[in-house]
Amino acid sequence: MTAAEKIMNSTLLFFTVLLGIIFPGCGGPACFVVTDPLPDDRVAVPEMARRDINIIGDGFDKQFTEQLEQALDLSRSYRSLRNKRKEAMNVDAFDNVANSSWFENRIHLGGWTPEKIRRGPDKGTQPDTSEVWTIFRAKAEGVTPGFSIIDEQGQRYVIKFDPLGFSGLSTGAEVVSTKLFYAAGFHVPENYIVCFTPAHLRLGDNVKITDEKSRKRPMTQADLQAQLARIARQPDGTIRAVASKYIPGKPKGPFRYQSTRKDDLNDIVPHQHRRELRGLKYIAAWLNHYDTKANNTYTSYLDKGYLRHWLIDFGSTLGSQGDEPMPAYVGHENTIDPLAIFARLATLGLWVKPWEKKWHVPYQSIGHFESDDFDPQSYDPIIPNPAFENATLRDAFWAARIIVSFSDELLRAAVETGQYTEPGAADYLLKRLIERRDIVGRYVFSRINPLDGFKLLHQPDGRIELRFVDLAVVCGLEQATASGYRYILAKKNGKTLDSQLLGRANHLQIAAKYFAEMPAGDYLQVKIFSKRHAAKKWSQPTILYLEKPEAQKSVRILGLRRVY
Amino acid sequence: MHRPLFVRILALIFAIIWVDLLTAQENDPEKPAKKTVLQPKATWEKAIDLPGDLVFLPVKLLLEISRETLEFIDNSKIIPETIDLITSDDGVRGVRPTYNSRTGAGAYYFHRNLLQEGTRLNLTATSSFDAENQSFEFKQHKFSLAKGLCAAGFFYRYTKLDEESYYGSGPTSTRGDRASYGIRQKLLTFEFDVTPDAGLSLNLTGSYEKTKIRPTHDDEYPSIFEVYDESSLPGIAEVADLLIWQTELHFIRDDRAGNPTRSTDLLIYGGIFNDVGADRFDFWRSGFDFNKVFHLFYNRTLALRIAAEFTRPFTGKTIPFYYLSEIGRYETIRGFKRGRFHDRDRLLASIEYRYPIWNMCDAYLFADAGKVAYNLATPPPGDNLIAGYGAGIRVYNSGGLVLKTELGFSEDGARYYLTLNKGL
Repeated sequence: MTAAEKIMNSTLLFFTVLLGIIFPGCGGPACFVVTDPLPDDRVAVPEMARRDINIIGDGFDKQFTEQLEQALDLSRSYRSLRNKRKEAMNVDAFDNVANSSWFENRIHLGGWTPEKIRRGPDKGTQPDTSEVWTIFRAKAEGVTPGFSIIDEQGQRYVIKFDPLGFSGLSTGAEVVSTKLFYAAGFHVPENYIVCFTPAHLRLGDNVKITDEKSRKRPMTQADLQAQLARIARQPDGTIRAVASKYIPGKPKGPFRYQSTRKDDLNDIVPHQHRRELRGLKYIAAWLNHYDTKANNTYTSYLDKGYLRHWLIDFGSTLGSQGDEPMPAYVGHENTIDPLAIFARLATLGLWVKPWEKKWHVPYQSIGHFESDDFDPQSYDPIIPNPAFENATLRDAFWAARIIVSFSDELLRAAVETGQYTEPGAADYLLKRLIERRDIVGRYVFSRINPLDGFKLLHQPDGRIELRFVDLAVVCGLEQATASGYRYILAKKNGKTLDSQLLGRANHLQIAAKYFAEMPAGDYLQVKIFSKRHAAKKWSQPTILYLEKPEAQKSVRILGLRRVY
Repeated sequence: MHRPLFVRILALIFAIIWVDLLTAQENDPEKPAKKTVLQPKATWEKAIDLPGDLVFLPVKLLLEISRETLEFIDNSKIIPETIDLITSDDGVRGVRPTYNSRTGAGAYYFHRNLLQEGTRLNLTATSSFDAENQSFEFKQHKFSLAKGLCAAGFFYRYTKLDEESYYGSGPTSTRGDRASYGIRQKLLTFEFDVTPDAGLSLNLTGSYEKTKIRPTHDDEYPSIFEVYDESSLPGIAEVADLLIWQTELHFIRDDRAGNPTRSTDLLIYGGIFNDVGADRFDFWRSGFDFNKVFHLFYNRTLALRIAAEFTRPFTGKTIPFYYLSEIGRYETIRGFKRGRFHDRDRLLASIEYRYPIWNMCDAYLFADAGKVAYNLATPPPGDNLIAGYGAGIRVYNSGGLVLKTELGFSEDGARYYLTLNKGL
């Protein structure tokens, strides 16, 4: 909650009372309704025009206009006051998102191996470093030098480099994060680490370069040599770089983290209410991907006739800011954070923020990547992100479930793709990734009941056995021996039918009679609570809705709701 | 027909909701197909939002205009193209804006390596908005001599200041004694720099300066000519033609340029001023200025300063009043009017606590104290001390300070200072 919202909340107390009188039914238990699934957004639609976003205008909007707009958004503040933030709009009855042009369910479904992690989004091979690479475009955006090449097979790549003195910093971060974001479910480009000899570079015809004065002019050999002079060399004289393969389809500009794209007929869910973008807040926080502005996204119109949404440019993730190690404030404040600036001004510098004390770069190839001051909830990106600002604990749970799916072994495989040569660097990065993963898991699973993987087993005697897993236990954040569960079986109207302490058992039995007595179209609620030894209270429940369709003998789970 | 107020408000609410619902159906007239966007807000939420929306509407309009302006500036490349226009491709030549509270706003043109590698030509012109204060400077320096052992240069400066004030001499001058005057100064200086060690430099200068005091058109305060004459205030009527020989020893050590967290800066100077005209103004001046920056914690620093200046006439000669040591200028005690105190000697002490508030931006609190005296040794230094205090914000880059804005308070009231690229 922002400070502005807190101010608004005091004003809204009046409205709360008023609305409580006008709409007495709003606060009561809601019925569970299974809504129709959203249409697949991967169907052919007319091609749209390319749309670019001005970075400065976008930053101004996010930092000032939208912050003020949110502060004056009374219904939003009213919901915040009641802890009833608007939930994501593209989730199904099980609080999951379907595969779409934005996201594909991957690692949390299981079955991922280190080899699959290493391969990531790669469909082909990296450019052949023994061949001639022809430069056909100079890189115009971003903080690091670079250019686009076409290899002898006709494949096009953007070539990006490490800053001088920090070999592996940007390139390692780019590739490791690519593998992790891909496994998490996002569409990302194929990024390869390559070591090439400058002699294999050929400057193509009519290559234009934008100089520091924003003038476009033909790129010369001198420009190329000047760029190469700013790039670190390997001991064998080669240059380490990332070759980022051109994204398939026609480029249509970045996507915004709010509203919809008017000319995309498939785009019907406001982006700030898309689960995968709201949940991205926690995945981005985990990987220190603070530069989540619109211009680090990409859309391409595929041959199949629809727009695919990509995350790009991971050179400023983990401990790298692209051209230098990550500054200390990253993740703790927006780049222009008026409230933080005012707070520092007003406290006369006597308030030293913890992150000011923590900045250090143990490895040049890793940069500044820590875990002891990492707080996933308060993680601030470069500019306020509308989707992140709308994220709720259910979005956090969705993201945490993905994040904890990365086992130590899978993370090690991802880190290996960074090809770090500095002794100890890879182990350091792996350790921090594991620690930050666990911090996200602990944060989320201590606030929302971490039960998942529900399965129904029909016993021969007619009883129904409901099994579940405790994600906090499965991923080692909590001890199974220190965890306990209970459940309440209730009718649709909330009347309790049965309740029982389960102890450490993560399964429960439901007598067949309850379903036999159930009217058609009705459902039963199973509220499951969890508790750790250290906790004083039981968690909020995860509620499962069970129904027995008339045409079928078996009971099925209609959906679930995670209460927080 | 007169409708009750609540009916009109209700009608307005319904009209707005209706329009909002209509416009919520996103469509593109160029596309035949339509889509139904999921609405993030229910009707009751839109109704609740109405007061906030109405309040925000004009603000949003303003912000939209601001954003559009920013985008226009960015897209049109006005800033880089302006820099391109005024700066050479290799960065050897360029123009920068400048401002200070005394001589006003202006620009300086620089040209490096003009006659020799390493030299620098500066042309600066500033003016206050009413053109009462103006300054022009031509400076060509850093000529390498004796295989780089020393450097030479020269500059010419013309200063016209028509808003100067004189409050009388001595530490007890009062605000009510303010008299106004204008001053014209022409200064030609040749300088030699010797740099025996990094951070240590010896500077020798020889200058010719011509100064004339003029009446001003300030109706608020009496002219200095109405209050004083040449016998009571030397230099008021007589033009001073001074030949000046000065030397400076400057020692500086810091841990980073622009905004050091630890530094020691000592300047010791002395000079002889000979009147080559009427042979009336012969005097010497010497002093020191010591600055030390201590790192406190996490880029918070404490800057201390102590400075003293002594001006003495040779036997039988006198000192023009505008060459007396002064308190009231920006670099003395902040918060006082310019020219507020004059006398032969001056003592200054300052403490400044700096703390970072943003990237390359510090805020600071300061307290200045000091005095002018006929002779600092008598009476004791603690007598007639005056003080000022205040706060400011400074923006810097790796090359040094770019912008300073500060507010100083003293027994005279408050005074605001703004300095951009140092100024003259």
